[in-house]
Amino acid sequence: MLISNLELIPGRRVVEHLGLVQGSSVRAKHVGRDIMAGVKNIFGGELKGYTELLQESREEAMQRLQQQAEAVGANAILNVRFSTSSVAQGAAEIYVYGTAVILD
Amino acid sequence: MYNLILFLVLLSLGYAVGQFAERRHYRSILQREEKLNSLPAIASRYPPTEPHYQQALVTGSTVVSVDYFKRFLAALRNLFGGRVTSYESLLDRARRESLLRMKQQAAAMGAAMVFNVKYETASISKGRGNSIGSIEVLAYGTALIDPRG
Amino acid sequence: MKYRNPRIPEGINVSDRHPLKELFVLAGGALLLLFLLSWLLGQFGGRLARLLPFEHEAALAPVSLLRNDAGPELQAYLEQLGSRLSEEMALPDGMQVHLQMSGDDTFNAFATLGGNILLYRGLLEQLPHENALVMLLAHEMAHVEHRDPIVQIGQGAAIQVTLGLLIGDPNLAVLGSAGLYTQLHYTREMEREADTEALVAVQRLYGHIGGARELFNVIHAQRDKSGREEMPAIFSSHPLDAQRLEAIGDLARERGWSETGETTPLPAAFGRWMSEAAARAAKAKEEDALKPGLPISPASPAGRLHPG
Repeated sequence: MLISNLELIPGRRVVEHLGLVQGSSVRAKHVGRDIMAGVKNIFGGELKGYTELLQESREEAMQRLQQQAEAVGANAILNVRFSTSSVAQGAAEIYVYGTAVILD
Repeated sequence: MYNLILFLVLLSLGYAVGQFAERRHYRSILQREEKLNSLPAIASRYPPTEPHYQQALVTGSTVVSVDYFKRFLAALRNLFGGRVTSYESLLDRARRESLLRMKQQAAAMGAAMVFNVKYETASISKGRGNSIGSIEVLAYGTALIDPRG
Repeated sequence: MKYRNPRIPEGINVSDRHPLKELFVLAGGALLLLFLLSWLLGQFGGRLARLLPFEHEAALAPVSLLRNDAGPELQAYLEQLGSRLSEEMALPDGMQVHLQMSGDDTFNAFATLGGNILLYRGLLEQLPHENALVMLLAHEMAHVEHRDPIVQIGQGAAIQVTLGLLIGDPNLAVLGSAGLYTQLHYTREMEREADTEALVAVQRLYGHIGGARELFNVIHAQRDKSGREEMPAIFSSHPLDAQRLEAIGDLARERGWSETGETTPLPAAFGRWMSEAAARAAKAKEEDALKPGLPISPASPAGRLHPG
């Protein structure tokens, strides 16, 4: 599955557009990460716990995006865009969407 | 002891009414998606150049709110970490609803398809204690209207 | 270029975990962990609190709650009983008990920090004989001997502070009840031990425990009169009245003590002492009302005789 945020793939032609596909994931941190973040607030530094959390979230969202594209029979997803929003204190939603296409 | 009872009452109310509303909403969404299936929504930026379509910006937005049960479940998730499943269905509904409203607006104009679809999510009225009150999802794109009719 | 819109199957962006199952697993797990944690914190907090030497407790005593409306005769009588009990209960050196009596008609008595014990007229005037009074005194002095007031404070602080840090989300406030119920469990245990210790002292003083039951019968009768329902044991800071009475019977059987015996009557002037104290309290209240300043609202002190 080719996933790209390019509009056109050089050297390949889009045979068919199959519509919008999306993947989303909402994950929460747990108390441990929260406490570590509180400590880091005093000492500064990278919040590794949160970085990991968002990373996992993004991977899951991408995986769901692929699942949807496979389900409609596409072999590539173009024009992929990310959107992050905080939906609750301590939980972030990662949302990926793009056009499922069949490339030749 | 009495605030425990109050809590349980609110929780069951939130669950019962919330689940009912959610199922009803999903039924409506699936119905309308069937109807509007002929109007594709594409995230691509380059529309077909032939024929020369007329263009119009179309939008659709939805604001959904959380019920007591979902809020409590999400707060518990915050203790242990992991997927906040109670919000997943909420956001899914909001997105699909917004897309449908956008498509409905395009269909009303007689459009053939909608290009360059983008989404925006915002959490409105965070509510006391920074917990979520409601979420707004906006879907917007360019509707391509065939001038030939 | 073809544009199609195939149907995307459901369930990719939504997990199909049943919400109720998730609620039970998460809430159940959270409560279990919180109860365990609260229990451990109670142990830890209690032990830490005991490290504070008894002599320093006096500085922390809630002075605003303590008053003494007892006349010199009543004070002498109470202190005479108190010192006899001190001997029988073998209070450690340096542990002094300060008996005070309030002319207020509240139906209760409590022991607080620094060995201060306050008896209210409302309860005292209902006692039928000296044995019941001694049971009451011994119960409160047992609290002081076990250092229950300071231990309760230590437990409460440890539990509330830690739970407050963990449960920052106001939506989860209801989980804080785990801490509260653990605290109530600990106070019930303290009450049971104080009852037992008091019975031992009464047995030593009179050679029988007849009359000790009267104290709890009086409490129960007052509760019936006031029409207030007794809360189930788990929600209450004290064991149920019936449970306390049963415990007396069990202990008597276990140790072969007699529940019948001659009860010593209260001194003849007792009734007069009560009305004098009532008058003193009423006058003090008048004077307080005329004084400028904020009214004192007493918090509920540790070591009360019954939940009230």
